[in-house]
Amino acid sequence: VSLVAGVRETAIVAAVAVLAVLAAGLWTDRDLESWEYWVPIVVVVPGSAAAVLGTLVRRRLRGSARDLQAAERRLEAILHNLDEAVVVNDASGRFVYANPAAARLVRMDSPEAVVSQAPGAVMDLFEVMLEDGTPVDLDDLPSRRILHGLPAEPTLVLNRVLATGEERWLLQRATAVLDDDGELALVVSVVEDFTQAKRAERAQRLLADAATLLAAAERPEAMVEGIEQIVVPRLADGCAITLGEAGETTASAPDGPGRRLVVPVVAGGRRLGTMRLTAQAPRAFDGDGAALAEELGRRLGAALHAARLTAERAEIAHTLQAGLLPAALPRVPRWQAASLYRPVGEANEVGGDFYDAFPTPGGWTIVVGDVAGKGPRAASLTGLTRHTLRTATRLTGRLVHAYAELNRALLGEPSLSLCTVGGVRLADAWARIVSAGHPLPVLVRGGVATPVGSTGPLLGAYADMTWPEVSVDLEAGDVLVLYTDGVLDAVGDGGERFGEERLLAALAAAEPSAAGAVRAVGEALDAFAATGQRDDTAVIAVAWEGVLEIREELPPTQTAPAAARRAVRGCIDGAVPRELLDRALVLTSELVTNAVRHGGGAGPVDLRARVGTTALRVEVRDSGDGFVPGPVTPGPEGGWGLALVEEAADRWGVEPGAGTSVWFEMDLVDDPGRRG
Amino acid sequence: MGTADEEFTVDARRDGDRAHVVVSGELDIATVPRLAQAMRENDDVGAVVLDLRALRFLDTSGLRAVIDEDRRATADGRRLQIVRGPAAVQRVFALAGVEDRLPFVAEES
Repeated sequence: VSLVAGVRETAIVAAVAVLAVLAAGLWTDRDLESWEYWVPIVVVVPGSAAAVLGTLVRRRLRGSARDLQAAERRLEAILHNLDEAVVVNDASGRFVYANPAAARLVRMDSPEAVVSQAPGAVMDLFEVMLEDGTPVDLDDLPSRRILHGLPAEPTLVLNRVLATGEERWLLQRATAVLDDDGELALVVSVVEDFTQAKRAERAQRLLADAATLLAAAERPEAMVEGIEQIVVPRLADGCAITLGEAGETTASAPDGPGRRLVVPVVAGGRRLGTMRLTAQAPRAFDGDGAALAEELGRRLGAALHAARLTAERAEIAHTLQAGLLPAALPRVPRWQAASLYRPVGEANEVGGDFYDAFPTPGGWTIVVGDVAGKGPRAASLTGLTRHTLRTATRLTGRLVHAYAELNRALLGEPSLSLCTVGGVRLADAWARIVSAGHPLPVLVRGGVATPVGSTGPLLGAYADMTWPEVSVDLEAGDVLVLYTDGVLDAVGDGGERFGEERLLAALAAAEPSAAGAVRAVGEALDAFAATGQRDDTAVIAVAWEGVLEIREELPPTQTAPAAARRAVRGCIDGAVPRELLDRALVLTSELVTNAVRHGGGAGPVDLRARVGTTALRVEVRDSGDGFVPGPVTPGPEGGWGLALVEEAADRWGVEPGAGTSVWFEMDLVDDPGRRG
Repeated sequence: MGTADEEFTVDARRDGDRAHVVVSGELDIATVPRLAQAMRENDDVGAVVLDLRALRFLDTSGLRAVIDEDRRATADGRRLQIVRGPAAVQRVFALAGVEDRLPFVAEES
């Protein structure tokens, strides 16, 4: 590089020297003899040039006179072929020399045409600005400063050709040539065209900004909007991007006074949309402009394509994940349930944690499990696990049978497939706990949290395993919490694990409800591991509200049925589906009506209603001498009421004793596995 | 404690040879006599519309009352139309298997 620069500067200095000689001829206003050319070349050049250009000149021109002669011979050719424009003005500002590059720069046919211009006339053809668009005072340009005896630094300006609107980036340098008396004789100006370099720099900056924007944007709309804002006004005056249409191919065509450019938004050979650019300047998209627009189209296309793939993956993962959890926890009378599920990581990873809750014979069952692994295979295994547990527990009514079935299924998988499950079967005031390698459920009672149950082997490891079942009697207000080890393994900001002790403390302090327990665990985890949870976390809590019972003694009058209906409605309204409530009210009305009509009217009608996990039971006792259930086929004399009870209740019966007692039961937990 | 009596209403309106009987509230053993009375007061017209749309509850006492009115109308040669009640009411007719036997209409015609 330094060698090339050296040669160039040497050439320029040599040119200065020759021009000095030519100038000497002009000053003396006579034709020089041929020998007189040689004198200044040999004598003046080393002297004046060295004096002016100092060490540079001394270094460059240290060679012999013969070298200088050789340089002189090459001078004209070099100046002619120089890419930089070189012009020389005298002390009055008149042009005395221009090379062909200079003529090209100012859009003139020949160097002679330049030289013939009046001082200042050339600059009238241009508008000169700084990079930020502010106009430049021509007196600040290096050549003018030298003329005025001021020091001059190389200056980069944006030069617009007024005739065409074309813009160039020009670096101007100027050097003074002094005569023997030290007076300014000539100003040598060298102008380099930096347009290509500046355009490349602007293009790179624009592409870099586009890349930053596309990386930050998540939605396609944000990408399109961002690109439009980057393009205007840096590349075009107007930009409109439309997505999703085919058609127009790349084209640029004149459109009114300005220009129009249409480029495709493409990815992998597929056209995703179209970018339309407009510009006022007639040559706006010349050169690199169109290529830059096309590159933007490709980059936008690639980003849109990647965003689409990510969205599709997230959608697939979301669908898989949704299959691991029940759409909603079932509503079970006299129980509350709440859950928390926090899968790890990005939207398109699928966790192996699951929980489920479903009706089973005599009650309902909740399970929580953790399938080893991550990703699609874990998700598929988790689906298998969840549905095997659900189906087998519903059919057999026993978690241990379901575990055995699942254990067989996992052992039948082609590769080692391990899974831990914690399950609890729930009925009125009763829970039966079975753990397969899973953290034991926590029973929270009266502000004390205790793990309950006994751990058996995890599933998928060994054949012919058995699992201990542990029954726990529940009191109203008890909360049972099942969770996955993501809770215990959560890593705190100090590096330690959350652990069972913190969990039990959080649960003991929690509001005594299912929602309260889940909220307490979530909040304790948030407070403990603010920076990062490492494993999936699933928590499910249930709270037993106790059996709901009412007992009322109603006067044996015709208003008793309405009063009984009101009492039963107050007991179960909101706890059971509307249709079931309607049926229960009709059946209650029938039993009480019968008691009023046939009960002898001597004593009160005794109404009892009871709502438990699985059923509503209504019992009506009158003071009559006993009722013998006859045919329940309605006839003119009655039987309609019991016919309806037979039709609409799941069970009914007559209890002997003091007076007559008739009862019916309706199942509350919707259990299609048992009906059918 | 309120009773069904307080909530049950029956309104009869005469329109020439036609009577409209509108019941609302709960129809059970306590309230069927009032329905029966209102219907008997309109035995002298050629057509009766019994509107159950505002009825909230009906048990087999009410069911028997409605069937009784249908029988009497047929015997007397009166035209009876019954405007269907809400689902809870219609379900009782359906459970008793008489929904197809009674002259139900969606709207009075």
